[in-house]
This record gives sequence, C-alpha cells and structure tokens, in this order.
Amino acid sequence: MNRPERSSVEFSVNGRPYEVEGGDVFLTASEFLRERTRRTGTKIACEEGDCGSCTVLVGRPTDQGTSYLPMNSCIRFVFQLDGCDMVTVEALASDGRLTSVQEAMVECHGSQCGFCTPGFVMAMTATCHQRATSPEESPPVDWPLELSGNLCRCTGYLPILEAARRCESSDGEISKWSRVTETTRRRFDLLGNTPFDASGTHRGAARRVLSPVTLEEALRIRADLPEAQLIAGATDLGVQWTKARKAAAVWIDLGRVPELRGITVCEAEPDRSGDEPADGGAARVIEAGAMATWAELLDRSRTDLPEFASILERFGGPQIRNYGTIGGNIVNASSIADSLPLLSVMDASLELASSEGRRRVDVNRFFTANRRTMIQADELLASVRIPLPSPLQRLRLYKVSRRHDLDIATVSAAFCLTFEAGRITRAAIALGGVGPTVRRLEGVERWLIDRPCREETFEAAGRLAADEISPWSDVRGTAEYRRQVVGGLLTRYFHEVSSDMGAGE
Amino acid sequence: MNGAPMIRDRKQDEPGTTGKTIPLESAIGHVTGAAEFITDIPARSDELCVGFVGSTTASGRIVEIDVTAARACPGVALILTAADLPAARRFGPLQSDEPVLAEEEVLFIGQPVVLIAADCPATLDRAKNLVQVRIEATEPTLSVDDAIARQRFLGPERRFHQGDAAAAMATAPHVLEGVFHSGGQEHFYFETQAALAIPGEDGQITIHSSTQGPTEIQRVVALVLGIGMHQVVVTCKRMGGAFGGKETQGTSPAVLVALVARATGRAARIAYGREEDGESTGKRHPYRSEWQIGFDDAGRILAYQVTMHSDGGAGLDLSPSVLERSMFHADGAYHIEHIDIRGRVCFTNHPPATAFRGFGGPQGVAVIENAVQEMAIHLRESNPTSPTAADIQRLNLYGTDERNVTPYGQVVHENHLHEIVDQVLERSDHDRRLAEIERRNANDPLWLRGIAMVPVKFGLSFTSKMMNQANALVLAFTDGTVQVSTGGTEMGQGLNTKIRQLVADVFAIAPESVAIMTTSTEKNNNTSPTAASASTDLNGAAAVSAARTIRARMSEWATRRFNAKTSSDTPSEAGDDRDRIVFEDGHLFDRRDPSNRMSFPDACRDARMDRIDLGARGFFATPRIDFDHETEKGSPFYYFAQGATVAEVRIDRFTGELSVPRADVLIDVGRSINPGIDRGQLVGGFVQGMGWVTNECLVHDEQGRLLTTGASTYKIPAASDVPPVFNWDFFSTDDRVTAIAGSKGVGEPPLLHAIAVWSAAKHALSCASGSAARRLHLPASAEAIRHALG
Repeated sequence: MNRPERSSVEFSVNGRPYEVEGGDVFLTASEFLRERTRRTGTKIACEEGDCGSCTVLVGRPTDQGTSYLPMNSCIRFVFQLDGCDMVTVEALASDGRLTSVQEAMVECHGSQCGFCTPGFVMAMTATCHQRATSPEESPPVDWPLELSGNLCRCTGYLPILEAARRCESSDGEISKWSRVTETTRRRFDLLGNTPFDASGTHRGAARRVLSPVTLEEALRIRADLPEAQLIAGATDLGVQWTKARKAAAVWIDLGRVPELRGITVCEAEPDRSGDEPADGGAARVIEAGAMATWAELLDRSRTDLPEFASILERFGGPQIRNYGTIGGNIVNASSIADSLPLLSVMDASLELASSEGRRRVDVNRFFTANRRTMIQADELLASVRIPLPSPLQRLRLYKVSRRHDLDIATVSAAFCLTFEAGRITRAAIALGGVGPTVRRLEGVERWLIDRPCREETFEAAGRLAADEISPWSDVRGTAEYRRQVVGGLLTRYFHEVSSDMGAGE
Repeated sequence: MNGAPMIRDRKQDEPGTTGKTIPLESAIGHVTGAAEFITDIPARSDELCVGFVGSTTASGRIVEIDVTAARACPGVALILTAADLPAARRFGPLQSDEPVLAEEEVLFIGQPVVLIAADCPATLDRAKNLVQVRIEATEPTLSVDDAIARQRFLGPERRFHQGDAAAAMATAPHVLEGVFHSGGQEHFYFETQAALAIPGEDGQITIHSSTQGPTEIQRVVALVLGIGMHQVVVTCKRMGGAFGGKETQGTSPAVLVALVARATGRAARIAYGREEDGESTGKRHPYRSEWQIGFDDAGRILAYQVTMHSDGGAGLDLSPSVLERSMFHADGAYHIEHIDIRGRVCFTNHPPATAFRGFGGPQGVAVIENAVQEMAIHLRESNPTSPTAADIQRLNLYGTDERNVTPYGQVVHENHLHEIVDQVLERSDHDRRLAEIERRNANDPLWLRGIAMVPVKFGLSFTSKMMNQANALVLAFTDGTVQVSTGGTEMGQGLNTKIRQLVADVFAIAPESVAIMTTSTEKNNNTSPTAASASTDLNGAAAVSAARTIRARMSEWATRRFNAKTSSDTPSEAGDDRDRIVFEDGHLFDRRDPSNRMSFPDACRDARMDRIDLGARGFFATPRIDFDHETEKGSPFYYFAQGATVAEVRIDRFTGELSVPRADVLIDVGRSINPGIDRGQLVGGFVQGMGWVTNECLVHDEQGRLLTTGASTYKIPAASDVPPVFNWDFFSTDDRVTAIAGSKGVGEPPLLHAIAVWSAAKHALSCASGSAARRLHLPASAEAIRHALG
C-alpha cells in the first residue's frame, strides 16, 4: 500500500499546534505539558490515574465543534493525542477573568492546599461542557459520581460539591478556552486518516509506535510485528510505565481504528451447530467493538443492562472510563477486571481477528492463566458479544472494594440464576479476585440445580463456593476475608432477588 | 448537603474583615494553576536532579556499598554515602538519632543509603539501578507486640495519675478490660516531599522546601553542612498538603539537596515519587493500649487505667511529644477521679513515625471511647433499660465547677461540653434514631446500622512550652500597602488569609492591600513549626502586635501633625492622644475633629517624609502555660477546643462494607476569623478522620515492606464517602480565654470527631452480638468488620 507515512505526531495545546517526533512521543501528556511547555498548572500527585490532579480536557476538533472529555494526563502518552486539542487549566481564565467554575471554587473555598484543585476545576468544566452539548435533557448532576475520578485530601469535598452545584448551570464556557483555529482543525481532519510510525530513544531505550487507521492495516502490522504490544486506552499500560518503567519496544496503537469502535444492541444469533459459541439462547446481545470505552458502555448499559451500569459507574473515574476499553480489560486478563464476571456468567463470546481470518471464542475458554489468554501473536480482539439476560434470569453483579469509588475490586462476582416454580433451573456463578483468573464455579452451579430458592440453599452454596476457591492474601484483603465475602454474597443475592421476585411473582 | 447551614458570617454589617468569609488568599492561583509548588519552579540550566537509593531491608548491617558503576555513569554528578558526609551525620528534632544516610546498619525499608545527583531523571534512575548495597539482614522488629516482647523502647515510660486507680478498680461493681489497637495513617499530602537548594555566595545556601518547619531545616542543614545558621536561608511559599507530615519529614529531602548544592555548586532538586514517599516517610503512630475500666450500674466511671504503647518506628522524631499528647487526651472528655495513664514509645523497623493532625490525641481518645461503648454493651446485655452510651458519656463529662481537674492537674475552664453534647444529641435526634436503628437491626437481613456520639475536648498549645512563641515582620509601604511575614507556613489551612484579615483590620484597610509573603528564615528567625492547631494563635498574634506597633507610631505622628494643623488646640497628654486617631475604612482621622482626615496611603507616604519607621517586628508568647515534667502536673494548654459529633453508619452484613449516611458535627471555634476557612477545616478534618477510622489501612508484608504506598492501594476518602447528610455548625461562645480576636484553634479537633464514626460501627456490631463488637479495633475497615462479625 502506498500511503504517506508520518513519523511525527501533531496535536494542539490550548489551541496552539505542536508537532512532536522522536523519543518525546513516548512522554506522558503531563510530562509534555510540564517539562516541554512549562505549563505547570497540571499537577502530578499519584502518577497512576488514581487521583485526578492531572486532569486535562481532550477533544478531536470536527466541523461540528469539539467534544472535550476529561483525561488523566499522567498515564496517557503524547502519541495518543494525535489530531486532538488538549486543554489545560491555564486556558480557562482569559484576560484575568475566571470562568464560572473557577469563580465558584474560589467563592466556596473549594481549594485548600491547591494541589488537586486544577484537576477538580477541569473535571467540573468537563461535566458542565458535556451537559451543555448533550442533545438530551440533562437530569440533575450526580456530582459525587462526576467527580469520582478526583481525590482531595484537604477539603472533605463538601466545599467542592457546593461549588460544583453552584456552577452546574454553566456550559463550562467553551468559548473562553477552546482556541482551535480553522487551519488547525482542517489539518487534524486530514491527519485523522493517515497512519503514523514514530520511533526514537526514550529514557535510554529504542521505542517505536505504529498507529494504523484501518483494521486491515492493524492486522497486517500485527502479523508483521508479532513481538509488538497492542495499546488500547493505556489506562493500564500507562501505569505500568509510570510505576514500573515497563514498556514494550514496539507498540501498535489501536486508538484510531474505526472498525474496533461502536456498540450495538442486536438480536441474538440462532444456535448453530459447530464449534463457535452462539449467544446462549439469549434474545438480544450487546455487541461492542474492542475499543469501545467504558464511558460509551456505561451510557448504553444504563438502558440495556442497568446491572452492569451500576458496576461501570464504579470503574475508575470519568477520566479512566473515557479512555479505558472493554477490549483492553479483557485481553489484560486480570483476575480483578471489572467486566469479566458479567461476561463469564452471560457466556459472552469474543471475536478474534487476524490477517488470516476471524474466529469466535467463548470467554470462559479464553483465559489460560493469570494475565494469559489464548490469543495468538498475529491476532487481536475485534469485538465482544454479551448476551442480555432473559426475563427469567436474575442477574446481580457485585464489586467489593476497600473504597466504593475509584478502587480495584478485592472480590467481584456475577450471579445469574434462572428460577422456575420456586426452584433453580439454571445457575451461572463467576468470581473475580479469588484465583488467577475470573472463573465460573461449576461445582456450585451444578449443586444449585433443582434446589429450592431458600436462604438455606444459598448459605450452603456460599459455603461450597468458599471451599471451591483458593484465594490469596494480598494488599486488598486476606484469603479468609475473600472466602467470607464469597460465601456472604450468595446469601445477599438470595435476599435481593427474593425481595425482587416477591414484588413481581 | 441536606440541611447543611450556609456559612454564616458573624459581622456582616460591621467594618473590618475579621469574622467574615473572604476567599483564600491563594484561591485564584489554585484555580488557574498559577500557584507555584516546588516542582513548578523553573529549573536553572545547571540544575541537578537528586534521589537516593533506599534500604531494601528493614533491619540489617551494611556489608558493602558499591557505587563504582553508578559513578561511571555519564551524567552522574555526585554520589555520597554516610562516610562522605562533611559534618554532622545525624539529625532529629528532639535528639540527633536519625542518620542522614545509613551508617553501619539499616533500620527500615526506604531508609536513604546512597545519595545520587544526576543531570536528568533518566540518568538518576539508571545510576540508582547500578548502585549495589549488600546488607546482612537481621531479625526486624515490626510491631509494637514484637517491640514489647524484645523490650525495645525509645525513651522511658511516662505516667500521669490522679487518685488511686488500683484501689477504686478493686471495689468497682463492674470492671471491663481489653487490649485496643489503633492503626497508623499515611498523610497522603498530594504534593510529595520536595526541596530545591540553590548555592549562594560566601558559602551561603538557599533552600526552597515544602515544610511546616523552616527553622528546623535551617538548623539541620547548617549542622550537616558544617556552616552557620546565618549562612542558610530556608523558604516555603506553600505546601501541597502536609497534615503534620511535613513538620519534621521535610528535613531529609532538604538536607540531601543541600549536600548536593554544597558539593557541586549547582542547584539541586528532589521530589519524592509517590511510592518512595509512602515507603520512606513517617506516618501516624499505631498504638496498642491495655485498658481497664471500673464503673457502677449507672455508668459512672470509677476508675480507669490505660497503658499505651506507640509504634515510634526507627527513630525518635517527635514520638515522645506525640505520646505525651495521647496521655493528655486519654481521659477523653470525662472526669475520672481515679485514673492511671502510662505510655511508652516502642522501637520498630519502620520509618520514624511522626506528627499527624491530632498528634496522638486521637489515639488516646479512641481507647476511652472504645471503653465507653463496651460499658454500654456490658450494662445493656444484662439489663436493656441500662444507660445508653450517650447517657454514660453525659454522666461522666467534666464538670464546670467541680469534677473539673484533669489527671495532669489542669482545670478545665470555660467548659461547654454539657451544652454542646445536649445540643448535638437534640439536633441529631439521637435518641429516637438510636431506638429506630436498634429496632431495624433486629429484622434487616442485609444491613446493620449503628449510631454514636463522641464528645471532644482538645488541648490547644504546643505541650512543649518553649514552642509557644512566634514573631512577625510587618512592613507598610508609601502607597498604603502592607507586607506581612511570619514563621507560619501555608499548607491550605488558611493561615495566610486569616493573618491578612487580622492585619488589614489593624489598619482598617482592605485585605487586598495586605500581602502575606513567602515564609523565610531570613525574615523570621527561631520559629516553631506550623503545627498544633496554633499557627494563627501564635503567628496571628505576633503579626497583630507588629501591626499595632506601626499603628501606634502613625497615631503619634498623626496627632502631632493634626495638632500643628489646628494651632488653636492646646497640646494634650500623650495618654489621651493614643485613642485620638481613628483608623477606619482606609483612612485615619482625629476623633476630636473628624475633618482632620487623611487616607491610609497618604498617611504612610507623609509619615515616611517625617522619618517615621513603618516597619516593625511583633512577638507573641502564649501566657499562663506551664508543665512540670518531674511531677507530671501543670497546665500545658492555654485553652481547650470543645465539640461533639453524632455519626450514623450502615454496614453490609455480608461484606462488612461501611458507609456513613449522616453526621452532625458541632464544634467550638470561638469567634471564627473566617467561617469559610473554619468550615473547610471542620469538614476536611472530619473526613480525614473518617479515613483513619475506616478504610485507610497500612498493609505490610512479612519483611516489613509497606504494600500500600500509592493511590491504587491506599484509599483515602472519595467524594462519595462524605455523609450525604452532613450537618455541621459552630458552637458560639464568648469565652474570656481564647486566642487572637476571640478565635480558637480548629486544625486538629475535627479529626477527633470522626471517632464517632468508629464508635457507630462498634454500636452496629453490638446489635449483631456483644462479642462481634468486642472484636473490633481501629480502623473499622470492611475486612475488620467482616472479621468481627465472624
């Protein structure tokens, strides 16, 4: 294929264009801001996307305008900004006049030491901006949720929440801070369709990143460079770099491959004979591209799978959900991945693509060990199909973590049981955080079949489940606690579901 | 939040700004990102990047340090080990026991062993990896229990007592006892430890440090470099949070960059990585407390004995003072006739534990609040009509005219505890909710609820008398603007804003005309750290004193000037003249003839023409405080800040997860200088305390390595953890004994109020079973609660 190869990355900061090449494309966005442009308003406090102090806004300028999303600049790389405008706290006040968000923070004593403040200001600005540009009528803002990606150690949050409510009718005042010129927009428009291949020396190591813009190209590169690592939202790879200085020599950035995006809810496929998994008899499925972000999935789940939405609201904060992808979560193969218990109980299927073709795999056969999957070196995850529960199925998802928001699960669980005439006719139980991979508890599932829907059944099942797992002790909890939680959750499930059914049946 | 009162200003229609909510002095800098922290200061072209190689072993002997490969690394400018240090090798606020760099032995994981300076962070990382430190590990002491078993202590046992606790215990109708553990706490200031050193002429050095204690850094840098304190300037513009974690812990990074700047003649900067900070800096002291309480059927406490052992870590730091404050607060808010309080600091192989908001007070109060809850559980187990915990608490509060002497002999003057407690119980509808909660708990298969009140009496003053002093420098300029410098440092607590208000009011000018300058040892010498909730009390008073000196000179000058102008006036007595000149609304005028009037800027300009000194130093030393360490009796506190909180919790019976649906906080701040700031201290301190009593857990592995070093593993409260119903209010008093302008310290007391959250968790567990409640220690993490439930 003959196409113009770029070796540089172009983006703008507060409307000012930058072209970056060589090792600097591997800088984090916050390093670029602070060290290369001396914009030090963006603060670094945790260096792992877990506090929001480094929040900036990022949007891809289009001729309809720019929709900006909040982003943790400490764990995202410069090359991922290609074609985007990044807005920092320095852009907000113009001619010495504060925006209404800034004013509210000043008036309500929303800052104390001031270190987390720029991040809060940017997150609040993002929420106001998104509400103003959303076509739908906006409900009252759930500010603790909107600000769940930002931590503050001084204020106890009340003054910040008060400031947020005071400015929530503002549109975030994009006219003040979005300064992308028409020339830049056209330039970025053009770039959006061109791949790049950038390399350089970063922190003493030779690094390269390729950014394809079609799936075909991505698969070809994948086949050519089997040692390369795929990079999706970088919400985990970014942390591996900042915390452990771990990074592959070659990255393939999937951020601009349109075929990998998108979420649809569609009719399930009929059961076919053959090895490929079907949709488990469900009527409808959610089909999500591997690069669908958590924010997009959360939006869709609110209407189509509310139970999942309640978990996704606790997946990182908005800054993580806007970039983290379902594909990354799956392929990362962590035992505490928030999406996997659901996928496991719903018998989701994964579509793997390579330049040779495509195949579908049952998610429950995909993980071979902790952080290992059956994906081949020339393959990538293209999409995932999640069957939606039928009216007879009672699905509940649990995430037990030290802190409710912005935390990693100690134990996660998904229970999806079918009840008929007071008895259990089908049971799917998946647990995360209690073994090397998210896993189904087949022994307990079998034991539950035909048992009556009574508290004793679930208490006994809880004891069986606690025996069937072999959890470890770590920083998030002891093995004993994990066993107690697993046992208890089944009883909690019984109480929740029976009160639901009591109302309906 | 629901029902939260708006910030009420005391004197909306009165002149002046003291008592009114004005924005934080740095607020605009904060919201625009312009406020500068250490890592934001532009680098000089020759600046070096400084770091250290820390011990990877909690306890051991250093066999060999090999820096050859690291030294050969291009871009490495300097490598130092203990042997290379030019002068003093140890430092410490109370005793010089902490090595700048580990000498023969290593005492904790993360302890600096090798100092490296390089031209960029990448080179620094490479060099760190090339350093080889061989350590022969020895058996570490990793807990208070270990330390007690091995008799490893830092300093002697202390004891405060009153009456005859043993005898009273022997005759008490009920006696309960137990061992209570409270956990440590990471400060989690958002700006990690950081310092920048810039070498100057004639052996001088300037250090920009994120520190609560510039004088201490000046002193230690001088000792370690072997130069005079006059050659060292330490400045602090602001800190990105501190909470006690930068009272002494800023010294090590400052000394490291000072050494580099001195040796290389180049600017040198260090900023700890989050994990490095978590691993190598001191935290709140964990405590193990043995307690025994004797009481009667009515819940009257007849005797209380407690022995507290704190985990001091591997160096003295401020541990004796922290322990002392625990002992001063072991009585909580209760008068106990027969009481015996003992305490001792344990040595362990953790970083030296240090100051943290509350400074040992919370640890002392938590033990007796635990005992009070156990009393209620015990009495109500045998007789459900027995007094509730709140009844017991009310019964035992310090009296106003009698039963008002603390175990260390200080009289609790101006005691409002009864009123405060009654108000908070009533406003929170405590009794009705308690009954309702206990009823619901009996039938709810999913949730357990609990409610509890905690009264707080917190002693204000440094318990070390010497430290209760401050000086200030006030400079008025010919345009009528004013600069103020004190030894107080700004960490977000609003000190600068309060001083700005106080000084503006002395001159009756707008607060915008008063600038609070960067804290610097060049302007304010021999200062105390900004701590003990006393920084406005001390520095505010010193600044006002300096401003008044200038005002007096201006008054005297204006009197002469007005006299000259109105020649018909006979000169009057100086004493009368002093009140003659009124400062009001940006002007000064003659009370006798208000047409004699000039603007403050004109007055400054003209006074200078007449050679009047418009600069002054002020000094303040807290009166009436004393404590005799021989007899362990005296009045260490100038006054007590008082308050009470009712908190409710909801617990998931299956996972132990806890949330706080409601809190009602009532707190005495005297006459608030800035209600907006004090509200921030109240809510912020309370939520930080909630973290300590619930989810903030320090987890170590068996080798003593801290696993919770970063934001992904150490969980400070998030916005959704704040009680959705959070009622707070200031309790108004008109006390005679207060700090400057009728105010009272507010930094630390709110943290102790969060103990109510813990007590509520204990109450909730008691509804499951008495034994479940008895198993609960602090923090009440989900796991700890689940474990207690059995």
